[in-house]
Amino acid sequence: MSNNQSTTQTEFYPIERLLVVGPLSDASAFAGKAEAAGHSITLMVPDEEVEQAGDRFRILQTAESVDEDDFDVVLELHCVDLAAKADALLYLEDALGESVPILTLTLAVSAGEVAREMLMPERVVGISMLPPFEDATLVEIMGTPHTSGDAVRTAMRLFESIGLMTVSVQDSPGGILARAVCCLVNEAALAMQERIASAEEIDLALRAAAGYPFGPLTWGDRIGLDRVLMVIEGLYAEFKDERYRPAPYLKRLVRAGHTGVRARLGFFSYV
Amino acid sequence: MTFERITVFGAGTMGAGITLVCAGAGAQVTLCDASPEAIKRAQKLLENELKDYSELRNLSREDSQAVKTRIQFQSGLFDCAESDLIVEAITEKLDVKQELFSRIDAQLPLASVIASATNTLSITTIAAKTRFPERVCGLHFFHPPTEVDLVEVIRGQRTAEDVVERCRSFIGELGKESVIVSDTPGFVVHRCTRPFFNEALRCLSEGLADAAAIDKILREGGGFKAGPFEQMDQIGLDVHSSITRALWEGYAHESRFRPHLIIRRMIEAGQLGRKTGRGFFEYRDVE
Repeated sequence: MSNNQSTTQTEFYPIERLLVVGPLSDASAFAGKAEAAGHSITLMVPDEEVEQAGDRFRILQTAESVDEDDFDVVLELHCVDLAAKADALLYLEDALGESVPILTLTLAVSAGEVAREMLMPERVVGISMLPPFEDATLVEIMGTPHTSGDAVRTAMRLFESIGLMTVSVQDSPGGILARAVCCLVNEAALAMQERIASAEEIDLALRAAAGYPFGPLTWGDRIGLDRVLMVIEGLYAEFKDERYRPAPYLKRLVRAGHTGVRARLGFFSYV
Repeated sequence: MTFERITVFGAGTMGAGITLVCAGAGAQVTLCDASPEAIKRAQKLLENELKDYSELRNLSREDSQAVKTRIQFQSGLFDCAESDLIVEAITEKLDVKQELFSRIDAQLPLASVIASATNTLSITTIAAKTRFPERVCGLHFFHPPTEVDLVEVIRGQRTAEDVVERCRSFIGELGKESVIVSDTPGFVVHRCTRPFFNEALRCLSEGLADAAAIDKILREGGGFKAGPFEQMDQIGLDVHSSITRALWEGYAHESRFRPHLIIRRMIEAGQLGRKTGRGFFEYRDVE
């Protein structure tokens, strides 16, 4: 792609008015990053979270009608509550103008799975980022065979405008980074469950001997164990390979609501 | 020090590195190898390594010289009857290790500890051929031992608790951190790093991205020091593969440790990574 072309594209694919859809914590984490870059941001969060949302960003109520021309691009960030994801996408497809790209987080399901439920799959772009989003530095961009070049270019422009690196990869649940890191967390959970070493020692060993930025158990707590489990289960659903069997210990923690740093309890305690 | 007199068996890069670390911390160390040539190579290697080691730690000429005088070399027949600690760092072959351990065991005072620096074999199995498996444990140093500040202390099925504790104190005296791990394939580090490599290989073979892009995503997006493919090239695909295979076999062919065909083909083609000038990437600086 020549420089000349990309300059022309900046005029054709506006990214100014951004609608961020998802759980409040994720939507506002990402919005905080985008705000600094000067985008006009609206959040759409689940009804029960509207009251806690504060007034930093404009909040769109689910029942509220949206004008076709209200937004340039939509970022949909649900990854644990797949029913909420499906509802949100259905609503967005109906409410938004045909040319508005829908960027959907593909941590637990591929972009292809999402796109096949849509009337206009060409506007769907999969994106994969590793939570917590406030710390994200890189986004994997995934088109499906239907995705239009314009939608992909809009996605690239949006993320680059807020200082995130972008890499194009083939559509696959979890992308590459989240897949690798969540599998590391799962293996460490198995090691912890088998008590081959203590949780602290497992983390210390991987930081000191392998140079990992976080021990895998601490990393899982930061990502959110519910998301880690969703990524692993998404991989299992896609590949039907035993390698993606979630650690029973990880499942027990998630079922108990001990999902990591945000819950103040996960592999470690954060009280 | 917990162990004052140490004998290290196996004068390869690991054995030499462990020797330097122990002598640097104040122990008297004898480096033994059956082969006189291996000892000669190790002497040369240690000469250079001691220079780097001393520079890095700002050792005075006298201190550096003192480290050197604490190291002795022995080839052929060995005598380790005076040692408090034996560290075995010979070839990763079970029968060869077991043979050495039974010979060591026969001439050692009971208070001594015998440690294996194996990275893939079972400590319990190695210890099984000795008279006193209670005093056998694993000390898994990482490459290069002078730089990586962590050692896995491996507790075999029959290792005595005081042996583990003494090893833990000793590793602390070397200025390193220790983690105590039960005797399981790959221990903690090799086991828990497998998905990093295996998932990257799967992503590559599924055509999600090329090796350079996968490395970039994990390095820049994940904060890993190096991507999986550059790391495998650095370690050597043969070494990487032997570790992965040991885990796969140790865990009864669990699919998450399954070795990847890509690696086998590259090894067959002699593309072992940096050391052969070609692995996942090309290295023009290597002859």
